Amino acid sequence: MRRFGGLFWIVLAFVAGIGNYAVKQMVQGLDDELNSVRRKTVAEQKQIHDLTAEWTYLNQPELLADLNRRYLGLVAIVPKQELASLDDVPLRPAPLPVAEPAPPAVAAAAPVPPSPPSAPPPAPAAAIAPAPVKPASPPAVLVAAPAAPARPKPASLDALFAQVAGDH
Amino acid sequence: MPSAQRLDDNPCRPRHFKPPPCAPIIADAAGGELLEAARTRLLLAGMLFALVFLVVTGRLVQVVATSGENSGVEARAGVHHLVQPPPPVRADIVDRNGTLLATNLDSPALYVDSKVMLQAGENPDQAARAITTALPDLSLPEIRAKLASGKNFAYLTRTLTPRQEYAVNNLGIPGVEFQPNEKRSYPLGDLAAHVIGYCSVDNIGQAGLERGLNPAIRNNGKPVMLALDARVQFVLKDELQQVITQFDAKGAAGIIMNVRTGEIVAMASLPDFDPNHPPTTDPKRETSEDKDRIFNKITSGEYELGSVFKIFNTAMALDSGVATMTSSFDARNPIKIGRFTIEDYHGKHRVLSVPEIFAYSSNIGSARMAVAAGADRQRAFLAKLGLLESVPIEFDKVEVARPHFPAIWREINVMTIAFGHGIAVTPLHMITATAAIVNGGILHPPTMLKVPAGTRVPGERVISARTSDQMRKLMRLVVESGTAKLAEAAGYVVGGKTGTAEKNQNGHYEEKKLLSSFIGAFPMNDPQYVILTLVDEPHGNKQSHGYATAGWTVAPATSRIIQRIAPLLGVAPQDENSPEIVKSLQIESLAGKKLEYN
Repeated sequence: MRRFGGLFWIVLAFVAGIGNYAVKQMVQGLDDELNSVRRKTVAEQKQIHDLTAEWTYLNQPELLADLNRRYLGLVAIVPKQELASLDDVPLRPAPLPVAEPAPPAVAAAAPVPPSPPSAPPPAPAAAIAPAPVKPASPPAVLVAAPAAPARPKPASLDALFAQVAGDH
Repeated sequence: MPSAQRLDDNPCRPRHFKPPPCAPIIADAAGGELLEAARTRLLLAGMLFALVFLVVTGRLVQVVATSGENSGVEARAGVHHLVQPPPPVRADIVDRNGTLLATNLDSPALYVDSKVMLQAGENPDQAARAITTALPDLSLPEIRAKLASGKNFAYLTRTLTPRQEYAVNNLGIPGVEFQPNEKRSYPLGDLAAHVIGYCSVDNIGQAGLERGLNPAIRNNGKPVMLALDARVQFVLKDELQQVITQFDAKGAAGIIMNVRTGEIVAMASLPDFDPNHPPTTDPKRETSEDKDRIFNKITSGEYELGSVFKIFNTAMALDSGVATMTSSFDARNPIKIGRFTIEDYHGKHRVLSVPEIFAYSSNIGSARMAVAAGADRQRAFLAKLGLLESVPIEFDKVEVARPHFPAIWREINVMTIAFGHGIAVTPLHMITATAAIVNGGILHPPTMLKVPAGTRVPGERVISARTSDQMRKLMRLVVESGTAKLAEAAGYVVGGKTGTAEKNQNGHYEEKKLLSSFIGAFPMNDPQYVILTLVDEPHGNKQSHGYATAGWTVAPATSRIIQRIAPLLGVAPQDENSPEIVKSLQIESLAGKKLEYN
């Protein structure tokens, strides 16, 4: 028994040594990997930073204004066109589960539960009312748009603006 | 030997058996003592070893268990060297929406270790030619001299673009080395030149906020977020540039401020410069044109702004109770005092009410109003509005001018200060005080830094809410039917006051050299922003019927600016003919009466 006791300790020491070595190697490997990833991250951050600077440089308002003059001809919006702030426009509601089978007419109305196209409800009107010149019309446009697919698609942005402006 | 005898005495032992001696036979007491000492030593040695192992174990446990940041063990072991991005030399500057205004880009410096180069057997002439081919901006003789100098350090150039670095690296000249370096870069160029300022090659702020906020920018890695809005800034600058072109003016300046927070969302002073290539600031080589470009008219320029000062004069009279909206003052005849004569530009030659004095911009009426209030009251009121000391703002104090005003406040001073002469303040003073006049009466210190939403902004009440309300009505009147009709911007209920001052040069006023300014706020029923524009030495043209006054120059520009920036600033358009707005801005004493204005 005494002989086995000695052997046990020798084996234990040996196993512990090997284990220790293996763990140390593994940790070193992980460390190297971590470092290389971090180095890459830092390099990438630097690149993003440089690209941000370049992006800002390319987006100088003066340059954009010049490009707009040459190719787009957009002009600042006038109060008549500003009906409501973007924050007043409700987000698209989450789509309903697909499992629900419904006739096409109901399906068209379903994704807009708070504002069925037939009757403009008071809720969005109240939200938009303070800003525009004519409080009654904006909800009609916002809500009526999906209900009137027959309207011709505007050929250009100018045409779209003319169309929107003509509604009021 | 009792034990041996006992064995021998065993009666059952075989006869031939002689037990071997199994224990040392200690003959005497001395041997026993020796054995005892050896045992003790062995025990001591054992304990010592045990102690050493215990210490080693304890240390191991400590190393493993306390692997915290501050133990410092790992650092010495060289295992956990984590790569960190180098801290920036200067923090970025961004606008209120996060658009980059100033940042650092890698731009290595190029230097030569001439000793190494010569030792490598390189020909300085050839090398210099190769370098100047790659970098055509450098002068060949200078480079050759540096390469052949034999010194172990000489800068060839302080900044290289990545492409240049690549080209020079490709030459492979021994001893020509790169030194990592960062260069301050301003991606939007001259857009907000005076606000941001610029840096020296050593990355020390030299002007603008780069100078004013230098310690914060250098010590804090986090970007500095300004109140400035790059889009609004562009609109302001664009329109001011148009005014300069249209009226062949010497310069122009403008500033837009949030009346509730004191945030300055745009500040422009023209002519300006590109901070990426600032004009030289060496006093010996500086031209007057360079000086003009660097000069920030908004914070450093002191001007006798003229009639726009009537805002403060009228507010003082109304707030102190010297006058009411229905009081009237005699403006029939010019006032002669000493060698001066105070006259009206658009003389009505009759008794005018307070709203009429303001709308017609009557100098005579304003002077009489100020005299009625008295010198002490006038001085105290201007001091309360912060017009008699420099404005507290984030710029370095060398760039913030102290106002000029008479040391002794005589009656003539009282009269001229009433209509903005004899006192010189910066446009920054003007806009800060006017914001307080229209916002309900609270003076907020101006700031170039973004004020986070929901922050309580420091402020001090300077006039009553009632006076502020009256002043809003008066300023709306000037745009509706006074000198600033062209400042109207449909839907944004603009109000304001024009000022056309003759420039004071060497002690006398030059009739042909005007400083035309307009200060306005919008929407007047609940002001959110106040805007000041001024143009230096405009010349009348055909469109303006030969006039170079504020009503024809900066007022229409302000109208255009407001129409372009209001949607960007989230100011909703309103119907100015709606009953609530008409009622809130109507002056009762003028109800039904229409001001005639020529």
